[in-house]
Amino acid sequence: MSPALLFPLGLLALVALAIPLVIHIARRTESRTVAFAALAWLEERPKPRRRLRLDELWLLAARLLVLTLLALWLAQPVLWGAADTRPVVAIAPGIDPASVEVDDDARRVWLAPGFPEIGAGPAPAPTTELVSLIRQLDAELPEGAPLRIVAPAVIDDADAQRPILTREVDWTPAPQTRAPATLEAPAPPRLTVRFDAEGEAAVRYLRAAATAWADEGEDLAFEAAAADRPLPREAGAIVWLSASTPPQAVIDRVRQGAAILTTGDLRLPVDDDLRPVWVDAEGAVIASEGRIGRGRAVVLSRAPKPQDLPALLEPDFPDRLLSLLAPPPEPTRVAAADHAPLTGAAPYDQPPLDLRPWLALLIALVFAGERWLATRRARGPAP
Amino acid sequence: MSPLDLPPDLRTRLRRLSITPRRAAVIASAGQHASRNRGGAQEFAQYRAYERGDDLRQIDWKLYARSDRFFVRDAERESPVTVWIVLDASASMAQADLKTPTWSRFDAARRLAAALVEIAVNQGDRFGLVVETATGPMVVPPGGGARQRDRVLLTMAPIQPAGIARWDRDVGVYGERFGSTDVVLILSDGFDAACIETAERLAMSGRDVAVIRVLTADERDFPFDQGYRFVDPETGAQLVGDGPALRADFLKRFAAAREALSDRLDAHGVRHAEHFADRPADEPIRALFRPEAAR
Repeated sequence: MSPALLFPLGLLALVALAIPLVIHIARRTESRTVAFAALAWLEERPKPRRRLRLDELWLLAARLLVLTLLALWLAQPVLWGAADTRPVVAIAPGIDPASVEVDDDARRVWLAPGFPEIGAGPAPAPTTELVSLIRQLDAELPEGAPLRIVAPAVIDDADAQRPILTREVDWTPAPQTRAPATLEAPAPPRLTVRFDAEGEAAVRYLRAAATAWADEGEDLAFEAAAADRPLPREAGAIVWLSASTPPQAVIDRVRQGAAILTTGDLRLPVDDDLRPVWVDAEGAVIASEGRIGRGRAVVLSRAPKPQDLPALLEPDFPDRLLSLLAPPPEPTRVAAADHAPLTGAAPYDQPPLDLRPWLALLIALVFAGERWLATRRARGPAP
Repeated sequence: MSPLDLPPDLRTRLRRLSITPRRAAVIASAGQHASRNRGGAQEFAQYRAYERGDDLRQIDWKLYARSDRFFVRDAERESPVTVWIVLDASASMAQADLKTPTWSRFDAARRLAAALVEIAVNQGDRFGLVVETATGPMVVPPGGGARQRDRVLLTMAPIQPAGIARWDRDVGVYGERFGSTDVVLILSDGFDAACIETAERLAMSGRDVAVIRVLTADERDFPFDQGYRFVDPETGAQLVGDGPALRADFLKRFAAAREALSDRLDAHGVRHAEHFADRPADEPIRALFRPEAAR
């Protein structure tokens, strides 16, 4: 632990110490008048000896102390390395804290925003940002504080990699109490194709892809029409095979959440730059992606013809098209036992302990004492 | 703490004290003073019923013949000694001590006067009062007894010391009022040269004069521990100085001045004593009227 001042210039306020000193010195001689009939026998000295003397030393001391503490407060005193290095046991919400055995000196916190102490309040609701909270807790703890994390058996919001923390963590997943809910794979979107004379040749490949998406016996979720035909209401994936710019109605539909696949350099009002999402074996970009409002735009850099785009004939083209128009969600569910954090992150600098609240309390106490000294009844009228 | 109400312990001590003139009194028969004048004329005061032990010669036989009862003629006897108490009421008498701001030099002097009156009443002497104020002397003519005591105390009670006493102007009044054998007790601080001269002139004219100098404890101890502006209440002169720096020199000079004044009074045959405001009032009286042998 080492004290320091964040703003040493605040100590300049110590100049104010001169004020009470002047108040307590200045009221010396002259003003006190006393009747003295035996004045004839008092010898006037040419220069009366003037010693520096102070009235009411205790009051002066209290005032000097108040001003010193105020100057110190302005200088923003902090204490480095005063953080709590007790072991911490973080328990994910939803786990009964009584079932976790903890050493007596350990601090028990919920793995929830703000890290509330267990027992200090109601248990927080289960969070969806468990891994992020783990990283935050690790960053906020001082170096050397042992951390134990009691995680749920299954983590639903895992990152693509195991979290990398600054310390070795005692990772104890809770036993699995119930089977996790099974998730349904989303249905493939209905493919709506608009084409002109030039693009009509590609419609058959798209129909083939839509046929490949559909399960056996299902209706084909596919609709192809000329470019000037309005879109059906449920169109979620639009393929625009026309050299003309899509009309505003189509763009509005995309803005509301649909995906659109176009070719060439049509001027789509993309929010940010396009980024490549499909690169062939030579490294040439085949498709790029950009956002339009809540929807997405996928731009093929080549015409959808087998001679330009041999991938049209590849057997994985339907899957590729599906992932372009309706990308599957990232896998985020992992068994906690397989998601133990790694170590190796650089430790974070801990913020110093701010001493100002305590100093303010001390100032208030000393000031109260000063007021008591200054207003008590036994005191004279001066200063 | 009224200066005119004597505390009980002081009263007790005062009973053992007496005011003794320097010379034996020459008149009167009663009182404790030796007298050469016996059987003088006595002024009729009152009749009173005869009591056992009364001298048969004092019975008024004519009255007995008229009323068939024994009455005794009581006479008021002239006391042989008249005590004059002269009280200085100039502004310098108002000075009080730092520690006891409500007890001034004048309060001490009034208590001293009340104590002297008490003694005079006890020993049956006549006494009068002169208060020397800035506007002239206030005189209570001499008399005796408890009623005279009340008259004197009532005169002293409302007086506030102020101004400059003009002793040189009023010395003629004293000469007229004071008999040649009276005891004159002057209660003053003695800082005024005219006051001392008055005492000397009265003494030179054969009167029995005593001066009790009433000083404050501050003048004795000089307890001023810091800087003060000292103001003379009579002249208004001021002196600013640091108490501790002035102390030693003041004490030396003031002691020398008191010594010189004592010598001067001694030289003129004026009896004198010093009284400090924080001391009991019987001390200067005891010192002043100590038997000569004990001095």
